[in-house]
Amino acid sequence: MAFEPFRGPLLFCDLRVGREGVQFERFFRAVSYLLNAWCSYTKREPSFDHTDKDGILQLRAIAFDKLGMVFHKLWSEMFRQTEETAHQVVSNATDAEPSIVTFPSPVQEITGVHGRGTGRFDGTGPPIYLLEILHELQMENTLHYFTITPPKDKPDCPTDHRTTVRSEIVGSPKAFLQSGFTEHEVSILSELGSALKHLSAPQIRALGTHENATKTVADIEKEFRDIEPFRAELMKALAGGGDIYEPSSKVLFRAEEARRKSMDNRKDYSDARDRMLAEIENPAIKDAFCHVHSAPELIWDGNEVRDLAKKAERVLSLSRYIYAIAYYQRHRERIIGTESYESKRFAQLWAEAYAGVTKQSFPRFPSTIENVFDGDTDSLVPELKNNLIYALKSIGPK
Amino acid sequence: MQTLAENPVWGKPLIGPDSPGSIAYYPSPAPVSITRQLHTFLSGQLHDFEPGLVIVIERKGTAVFRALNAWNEERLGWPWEKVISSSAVGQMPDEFFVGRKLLVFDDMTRTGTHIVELLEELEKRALWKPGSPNLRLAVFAAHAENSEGVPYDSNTRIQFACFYRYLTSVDYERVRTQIIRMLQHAGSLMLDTEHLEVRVRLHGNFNQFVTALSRRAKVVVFRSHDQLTNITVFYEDDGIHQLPETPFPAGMKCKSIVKKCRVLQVRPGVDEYSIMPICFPSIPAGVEGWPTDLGVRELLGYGGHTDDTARFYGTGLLAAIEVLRWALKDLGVLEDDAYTLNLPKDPYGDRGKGGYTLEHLRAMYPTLDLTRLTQIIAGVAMEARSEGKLLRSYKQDPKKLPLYEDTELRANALKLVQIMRLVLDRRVMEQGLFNEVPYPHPFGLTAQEIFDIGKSPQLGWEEERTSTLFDILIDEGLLVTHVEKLHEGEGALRVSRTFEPDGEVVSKYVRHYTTQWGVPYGF
Repeated sequence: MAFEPFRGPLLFCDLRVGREGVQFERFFRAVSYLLNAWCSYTKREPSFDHTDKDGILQLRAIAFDKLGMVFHKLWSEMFRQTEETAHQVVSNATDAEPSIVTFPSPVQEITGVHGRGTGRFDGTGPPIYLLEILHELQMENTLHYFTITPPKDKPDCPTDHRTTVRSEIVGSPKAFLQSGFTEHEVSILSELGSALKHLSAPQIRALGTHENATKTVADIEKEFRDIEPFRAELMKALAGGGDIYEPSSKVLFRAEEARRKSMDNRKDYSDARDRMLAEIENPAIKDAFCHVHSAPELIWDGNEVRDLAKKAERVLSLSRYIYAIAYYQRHRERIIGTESYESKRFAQLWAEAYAGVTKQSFPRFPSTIENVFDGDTDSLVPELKNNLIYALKSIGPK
Repeated sequence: MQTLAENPVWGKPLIGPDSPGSIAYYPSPAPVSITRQLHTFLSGQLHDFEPGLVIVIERKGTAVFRALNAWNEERLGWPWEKVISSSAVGQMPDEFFVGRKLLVFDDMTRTGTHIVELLEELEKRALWKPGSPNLRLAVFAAHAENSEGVPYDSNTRIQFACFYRYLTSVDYERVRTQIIRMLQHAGSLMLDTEHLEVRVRLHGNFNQFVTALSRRAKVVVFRSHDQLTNITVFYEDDGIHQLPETPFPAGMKCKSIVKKCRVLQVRPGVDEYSIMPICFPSIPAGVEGWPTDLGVRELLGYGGHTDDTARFYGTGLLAAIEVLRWALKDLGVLEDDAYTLNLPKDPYGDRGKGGYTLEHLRAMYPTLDLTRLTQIIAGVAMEARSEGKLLRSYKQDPKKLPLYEDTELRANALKLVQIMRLVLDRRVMEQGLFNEVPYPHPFGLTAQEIFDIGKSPQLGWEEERTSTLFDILIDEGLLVTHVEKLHEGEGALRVSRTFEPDGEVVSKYVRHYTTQWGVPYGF
């Protein structure tokens, strides 16, 4: 076959062969360096998001994913600051390589159950999350910048929230970055490591979740959209006497996420942002950080987020109330007259749930669980059933 | 610190000079042109199979067919009455196909999606079934994935004739690039079979020509890779550039759609330009009974068998005539000796008189009355010129036309296609459509959505700039247009024009580029 020389679409003249693999390797190395910097700093309060195993700190899956997200955003922003020079290097118009960021983050933002994370989507199948990529490389014996340990009952599920991740840097962290990064890149990573290590794991989660008002609004709205099929399922189950446990727990889970994003994350985000700005000295990095992470008042004080927060509060109260009923239905035998875990958990759930629906002025919801059920049966009192369906309808899209 | 050559993060050029040191180098002392290869293949198929009708797969298959039919070196010379676009099959009644041998032509296939869609439609209408000898598939180049035939269902592969088969991905992309280059050389847009066309020869100054076109429009001038002059004449959603209510379908919307003329230099060094009006309003889906106007019925030739696509294209053709009127009226302010308008000839009444015809429209509008259409265009041209003449006495304020650098527009175009891919990918992920087999198709963005991207604070592009970027991307073979049925609000379906990065090959380039050089700022 005699072909003319391949030129490809001319608009893509800056495409390179062999660049992406190197970008990925460096991205992973940089994240490992940052994780190591964070884990080596021990003056933090313990939290669910990190654990201490054999004296070595490690992050759990969600916090690690958000650490990747923080780095992804900041690194891409830093790349943009010298992007034009990078294109000139490729076209041999300059050799100013040491003073630039040579590559953008090669991963993409992918919306997941816990908000935005990082990963890859190439249009040929489902998106692959950062932890899945790293775990696969670990299993293939290809890359050991991390040790990823999924929970024992789900050894093939690195994205499970109980998965732990630790950095595997052999030798000095500085030597770990010696090859391949420009001087500018090393200085950025070094400063980022010094700043990020002061954040708690929940603060990293908040920083990795929020950037600006637009994205926060989009993320909260997505939670409400995701609630829809389960809200419909729940109404159907209530009307037909089906199982309400599964759909109510799914609605509750997403309602909690909506509330976290619309209200609860503010403090952690705010503290994390302040701490980062206090720790970062390089004005270029500080500038990039401010570009990526808006001030908290710009995110949460706008009318849109405030309205969504009100809605989240209402949806959460209702879903918690229904979930408490479902929990009682499912564990009735272990709740009535015992001091079991389920009994204590239900008592707490119910107290919170009733307080919530009262605060939100949902009408005619019984204050005691005994008044919820029709006699000794598992069926709900018809009037309550109708009221719950009506209330569920009221929280749907307008 | 490492030098460029030592730092592997830069990789090696994908597209570089033709030297043995470059990855782009491929020794080829005397290649046969891709046009000749295509011609050899297609003329052979036509000769061997002797079809009664050629169905060309939209859009590249159609463009290739048209390029070969008009190739100066050796015209294919196939009559347009015996060609129909795959998009127009639904317009025609079963009797149109019965008793005719069908040759389905596409330039390339990888997944076979477009061909399978057509075959399914034909089988549904009992015009064909697997194994029947009245249909032959002819595909110029086939990817190794499906060289044994297109996968029709779990048990059946439909075999096809082809020139190249078992192509690796690299060679497949190589052939595709060559075909795109060939189409660009032949004037990409001019190979479409859905646009009207009139030609104008300039005797005066080019700047005057552009100034006249910009009288009530926004104009962007740029050059194609072949250094041919292109002008995008964009009409805003103002009070002047509205379509009348009749004879259009009730519920038609022409706000936030593309209303423009593309003006293309026909040949290098010649002051002759082709003016192509483009306007595709969105229309409600499933509205039977249109057109009611007898004249329009006769023009479009719609009998009892029309579908949404036919109505959409029919509406687009009528709308394009209005847009042509706007452009010619603006040109009318030029002195008579500044230009000569060269109108299309009636292929039946004016045969042998030279000039050009719009016969190729038959592929997309198989029932179109071409004699009537040429008369209408002549009437519009005459009226518009007269109206324009009346405006000559009004002195037009000299406008300082904004200058757009070609390099800047191309950089913008690249950014736009990146963002489009990104937005669509996010849509696929958020809606969980990645689990669907085959991948959602068609799946594009409306003009409104793309204009909104352009107007975002991060880009701040005027609509005429964004509209020009469509043109650049379409000419580069990076963007395709679709006719999609989209939900408007709750429930109501509308038939709309959408735009999508063209297929897997282009999407792959775009995604690689985004990985290597980042997401455009703020997206």
